[in-house]
Amino acid sequence: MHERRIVSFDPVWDDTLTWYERAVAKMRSRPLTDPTSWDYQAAIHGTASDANVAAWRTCEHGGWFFFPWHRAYLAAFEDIVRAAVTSLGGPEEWALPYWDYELDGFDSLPPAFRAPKNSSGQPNKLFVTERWSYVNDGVGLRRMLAALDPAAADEGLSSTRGMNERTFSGGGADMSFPFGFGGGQTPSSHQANSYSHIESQLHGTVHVLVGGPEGWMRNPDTAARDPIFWLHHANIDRLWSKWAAQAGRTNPTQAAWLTQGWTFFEPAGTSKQWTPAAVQDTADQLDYRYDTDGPVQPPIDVDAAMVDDVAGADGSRRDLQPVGLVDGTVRLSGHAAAATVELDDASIAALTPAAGLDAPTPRSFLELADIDVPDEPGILYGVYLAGGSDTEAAQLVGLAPFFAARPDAPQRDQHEHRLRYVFDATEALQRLAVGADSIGSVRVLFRPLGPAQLASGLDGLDGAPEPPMPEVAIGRVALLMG
Amino acid sequence: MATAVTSSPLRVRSAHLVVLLAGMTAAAWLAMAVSGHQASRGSMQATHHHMHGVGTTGSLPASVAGFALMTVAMMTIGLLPLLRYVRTRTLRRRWWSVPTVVAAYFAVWLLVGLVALSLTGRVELSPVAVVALLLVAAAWQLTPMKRWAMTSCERTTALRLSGRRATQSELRFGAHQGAWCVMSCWAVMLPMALGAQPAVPLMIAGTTVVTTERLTSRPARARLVGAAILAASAATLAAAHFALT
Repeated sequence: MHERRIVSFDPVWDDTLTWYERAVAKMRSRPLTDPTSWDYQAAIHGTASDANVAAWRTCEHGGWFFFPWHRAYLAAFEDIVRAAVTSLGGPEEWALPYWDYELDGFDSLPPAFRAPKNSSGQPNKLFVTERWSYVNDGVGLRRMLAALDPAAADEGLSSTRGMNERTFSGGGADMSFPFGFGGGQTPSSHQANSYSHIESQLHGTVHVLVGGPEGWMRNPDTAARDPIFWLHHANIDRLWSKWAAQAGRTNPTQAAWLTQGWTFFEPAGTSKQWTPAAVQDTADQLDYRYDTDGPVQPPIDVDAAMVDDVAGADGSRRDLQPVGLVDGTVRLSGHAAAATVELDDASIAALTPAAGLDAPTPRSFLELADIDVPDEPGILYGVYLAGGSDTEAAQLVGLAPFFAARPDAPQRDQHEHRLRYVFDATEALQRLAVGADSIGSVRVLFRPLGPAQLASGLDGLDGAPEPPMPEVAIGRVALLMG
Repeated sequence: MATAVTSSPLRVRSAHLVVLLAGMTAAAWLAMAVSGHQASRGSMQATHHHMHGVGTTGSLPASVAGFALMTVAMMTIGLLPLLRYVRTRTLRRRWWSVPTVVAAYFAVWLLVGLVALSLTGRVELSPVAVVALLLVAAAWQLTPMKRWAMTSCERTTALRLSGRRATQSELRFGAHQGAWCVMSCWAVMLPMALGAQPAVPLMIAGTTVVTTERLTSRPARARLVGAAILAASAATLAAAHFALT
């Protein structure tokens, strides 16, 4: 049994990272035509090339195949790396480490990934310059998010909301409930639009903070070229194991999920078919465990009524009703923006809590849909709700990292959905309503976390030059109620 | 924090919609059968075709009416995903919004049919011309423009909540959908709009093509299947034509 352990910060070079670096160097030296080469493995996730090569551009995002596809991808990759490690004289028990940026003090890029030289004094293959410069300077992700606001620093790197989900998958249709731990029941897709909380928030945020406006990690076409990609996804995969180990949590049992097939490669270069059914139990089926794995845990203590309402014990679909709408398209190009949500009298009545925070309140959601992005902007936007005029009291509802934002996979047979985010807005609206007789007016604020904000937010660091920002057009901004 | 939650489970129910769309489709087919039957009795020509194509029935109004019936018969079932979205997003006014979107959608088709039939007038398509048009339709399935149009059909714009602006947004949404659908499916509809025979088998083939494209989760495969159906129809017609002559 191989054990995936937390990545080492001290010492900078432990055995695992030393051998990972050597294996990366070896894989980089292989020709692109070799499925076990570094660039071929990265192209399986995505590539800008439109060449018709086996398994290229097959990553799954925005739905319930996100977790199983990436688990299979990592397991096949880990076998290839281990074969390279042992061929170089390294240990048989080598396993991929994970980067747990949620832990205090571990949210900066692990030092071995930002050192120009490896343990032997040679150029370090784990170090790439195609990242946001702050990350390679060792600035913590939490500190970067704090340049947006302290709430973003708390929320952006937190898996709690996702881990609290009771069912793996919410509904799949465009208008039904989008959440669940693992995402909506979508067809196999490079970019579907029923994101789980962990995928759209924690996962997307880390991608964009590491990649920045011009780096590799911001874009699925290049993300897996960065050696840190695999440690980021090992952590995401660990969260799935941890979620499933809570009592009462089960993975999907539908045949449509269990039997979806993907191609990956073995160390010998031969292709192999994988399905979600074959990657449900890491210990039994894939011969690895995480150092945090333990016996079955009781579920995290959350308000039962709240959870019941989110997914329904049977994971049934639920339609969300629009109660407010922004007139027209919201355009973001690296600057703050605001839009007024138009509410009619019935909506105001529905949204206004009867009395204070403890009164029964319907759950409400902010939907950003029909999002058109010419290129991954590589900056985050904080999305806030505010009252009619008071910008100081704006409440964070979520982050919009716009990772995997382009429905651009011409080789794949799938619907080309535009990106959609759905944020739980219940608490934000409740806080806005406290002290007010009614919610008379609601505005949606977008605040960028780009080079300019980081330059002014991070004292003592030189600002990176500001590249031109691709415009993000959000065709539909709506308040929904479940 | 302690949040009690009022539960208002609104599940996706589309039974009403399915019944409505199936009813519209059946009514359109029935109306075409009846009018085709009357037309053939009126002309005292007993043919084995129960329905005539729209181009052969005489006056322009009759042709346009025939085209409208044919569009409703062929396109309605494929509207299910789109109308499910409309119904869910406008639940409080769904008895108004769904018909409004449907009306705007078919109004675009009607307008296109009116213009096309005014320009072409009454035509008698030779079997060779029908085969050629079917091959054009099969080829259209494989173009990037077709792919773009089909992708556009998936776009869902915002529907406003109440008042006149809601109706306007519903009309706009239906008209956009109609326009994208015309872009996507004009080639399939053209031979039938011009009165290609045999009308019934061609309409069944065309309905299969457009409905599959609307309901599929594999759009590229659906386009290929559509091209294959159209090409096979062309081949069958050609074979029948040359066997007779």
